[in-house]
Amino acid sequence: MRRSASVLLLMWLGVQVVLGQTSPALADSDRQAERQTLVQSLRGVAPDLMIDDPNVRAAMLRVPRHRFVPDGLQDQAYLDKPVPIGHGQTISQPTVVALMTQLADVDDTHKVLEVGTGSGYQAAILAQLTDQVYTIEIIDPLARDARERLTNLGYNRIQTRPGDGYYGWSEQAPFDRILVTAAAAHIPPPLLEQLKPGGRMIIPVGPRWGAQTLMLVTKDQAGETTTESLLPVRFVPLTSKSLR
Amino acid sequence: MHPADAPPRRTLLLALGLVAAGIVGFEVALTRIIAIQHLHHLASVIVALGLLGFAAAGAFVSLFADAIRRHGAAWLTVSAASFALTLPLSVILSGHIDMTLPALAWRPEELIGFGLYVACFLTPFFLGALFVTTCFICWSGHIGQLYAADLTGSAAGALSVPLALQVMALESLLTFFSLAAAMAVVLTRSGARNRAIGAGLAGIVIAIHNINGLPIQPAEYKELSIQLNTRDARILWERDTPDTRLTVLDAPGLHGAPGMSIASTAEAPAQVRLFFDGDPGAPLLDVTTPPPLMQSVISSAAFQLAPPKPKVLLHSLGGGWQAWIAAFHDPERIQASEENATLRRLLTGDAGPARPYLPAGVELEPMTARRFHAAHPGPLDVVMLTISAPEAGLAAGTVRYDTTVEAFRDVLADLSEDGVYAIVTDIKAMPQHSLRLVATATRALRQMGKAPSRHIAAIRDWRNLVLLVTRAPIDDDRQQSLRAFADRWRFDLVALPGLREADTNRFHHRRNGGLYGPFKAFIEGEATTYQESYAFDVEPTTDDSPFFDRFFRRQGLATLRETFGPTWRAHLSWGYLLHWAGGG
Repeated sequence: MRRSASVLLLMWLGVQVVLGQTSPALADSDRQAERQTLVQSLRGVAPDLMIDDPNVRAAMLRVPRHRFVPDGLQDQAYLDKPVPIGHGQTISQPTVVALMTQLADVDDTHKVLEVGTGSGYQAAILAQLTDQVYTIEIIDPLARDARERLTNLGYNRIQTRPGDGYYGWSEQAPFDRILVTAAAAHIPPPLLEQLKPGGRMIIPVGPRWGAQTLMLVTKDQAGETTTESLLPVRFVPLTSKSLR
Repeated sequence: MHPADAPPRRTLLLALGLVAAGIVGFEVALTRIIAIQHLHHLASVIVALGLLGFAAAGAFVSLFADAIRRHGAAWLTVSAASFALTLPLSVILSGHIDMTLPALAWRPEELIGFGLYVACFLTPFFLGALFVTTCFICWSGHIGQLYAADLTGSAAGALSVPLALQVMALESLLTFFSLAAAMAVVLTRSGARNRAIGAGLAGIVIAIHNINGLPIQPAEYKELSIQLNTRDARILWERDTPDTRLTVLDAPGLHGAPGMSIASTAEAPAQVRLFFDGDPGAPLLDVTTPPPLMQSVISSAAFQLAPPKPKVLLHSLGGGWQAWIAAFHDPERIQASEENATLRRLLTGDAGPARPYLPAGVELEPMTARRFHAAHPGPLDVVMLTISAPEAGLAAGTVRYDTTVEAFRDVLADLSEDGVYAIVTDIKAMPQHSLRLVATATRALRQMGKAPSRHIAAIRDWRNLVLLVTRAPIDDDRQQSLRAFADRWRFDLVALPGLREADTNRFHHRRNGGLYGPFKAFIEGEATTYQESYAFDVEPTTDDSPFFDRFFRRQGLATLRETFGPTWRAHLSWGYLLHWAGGG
């Protein structure tokens, strides 16, 4: 009897050793290897819209995306797909997050406003690039969860607030960069007003569940605003030979 | 038990009629249920579901024919009672299935939810059909009488839905169908047991209804549900109509101002929002006079070409947004065609939150755009039509008679000498609706002997395009007026007599030079060459083929791949699959 128990114990230990060697995901609780694979696979959406900013890639490598994804969908955390986070919202596709961050062209002197905190993932990426990140979420439970999550993960410098992003964050304005994560029928004038001359605003436009286009809004030194429609951002393939 | 040559009792025929009414009524009502919960185009699966239910019941009855004949009355009682119960239960269950239908394109696991969703509606069809087929095998010698009862009940059930939804909620209508099946239980066999079962079922069904246990609500991903998650959001009013569920929502995050200029500093006006089947519609303005920001809205371009104090006609009124724009421009008269009677009552303040959402004096006509022009010949100074541009393919099977070449001619014939026809639409990354509109306009003008290059203007921002078609050539004064409007509010001109490419694509940059090139090709008569190389079919629609939202062309796939590289699939839509699956 004792001998059988010893054999079973040895077998169990053997299985653990084998699993530890062959399954990095099980061994790597931070899922660094998966993140690395994902970030390496991010290319872009067109030859002139490549994800090639090393700072953005480094930021995406550092932020544990799986901590922003619901428990039941952990297997999708490192796929290049949007993932539902409840309340009809999604955590954006990594390609979209990377492109929006790159187009925002954030440096460490910039004050950045994000409208639509969602899970907090985009804010965490931005926080890798600057210490001045402000984010607003209109859906209370999402705002509450995101604040708690960001605090638990140590992103203490990100300022979060539940509220209506249409009006921006006037107490902290002006902003060098504004990222809007929800499509709008028009560009909110309060946000344009809170954008510094020379500032950039990134908005995905189009139906929430359809093909969306990233739009870049720029404000020149005279305060005049122009928009630029970039390419569609949804359903981007994980990799593309044409972009390698 | 029931010899095939013994005639069925009248009460049984009545029971058959009631069950048939319940089945077909439920089938028609499902088009509304699915539209509210998910997507109305999905309704194409309903006929298949009904047929599958009948096929399964037929197969079942064939397999157990002898047993069913021996205990026919019991089978009838059980099937009718089960139908009465599973009808509301299937609807309740369907609302709890976690399915994000639009994510189907990139999350194949959504197919599981979709399968469960469809399966839960299959059960009542099977049970209802079991009742019908049991009647047919037990009284096979009297097929004619059974068919008469079945078809009469089916017709009554089908007709009852559009009629009943004029006066009651969808949930109440479903309760009536369940009660009809409960009544069938009583009529199937005389006796205390069936009366007790019927009464018990009726009690359960009424209880479910009274505790609001049969809520038909949009799925979590639909815009109404999302808005309801925001703090202080509340539904002010809700009504079912035969073709849509209208909901008025008040929420702090509503800031609709479609087409407002980026140069405008005004905030969106106070508003609530109208939803159609849980999908966002137009803002309903909570104002008494037209807000000044209306001067900066792109649709105001139409009034730059119109005479002073214009007579205005609005088609596809929606929530009245365009009416407020028209009212800002000091019109002599505003008329609007709106078919939906409940929406008319809502907008005029006769229903709903009891306040008008339209400017004073707007005359609402209960008819389609085409019928309006047939019944009320002009002259009109401004006619405005707003066209939403749904995801490509989703409306591929929908007919539109207000955007055909013939419709354009009708409108242009009703314009005053200085009149203008304005069509407002969305622009996609790869334009479709806007190009078909200009193609249609140019063909209509040519058929009327007019040169399109002198009668067409177009203006856009980053999202909206307004096509302007005039009866008389656009003279220098009107050209200057439109140019000044575009400059002031930072809109881009797309077409105008004498417009140069350097004057376009200035404020809202689009790749490949914006829309100037394609519009020029259509206006100058090079449409055929352009169309041959374009990814989508943007040929004009006609009354003989009025499928305005059908753009797919197989030859265009190569062009899409070439133009957009790895993102080419984003320009297609799985909506076409529904259309093709439906035999379109």
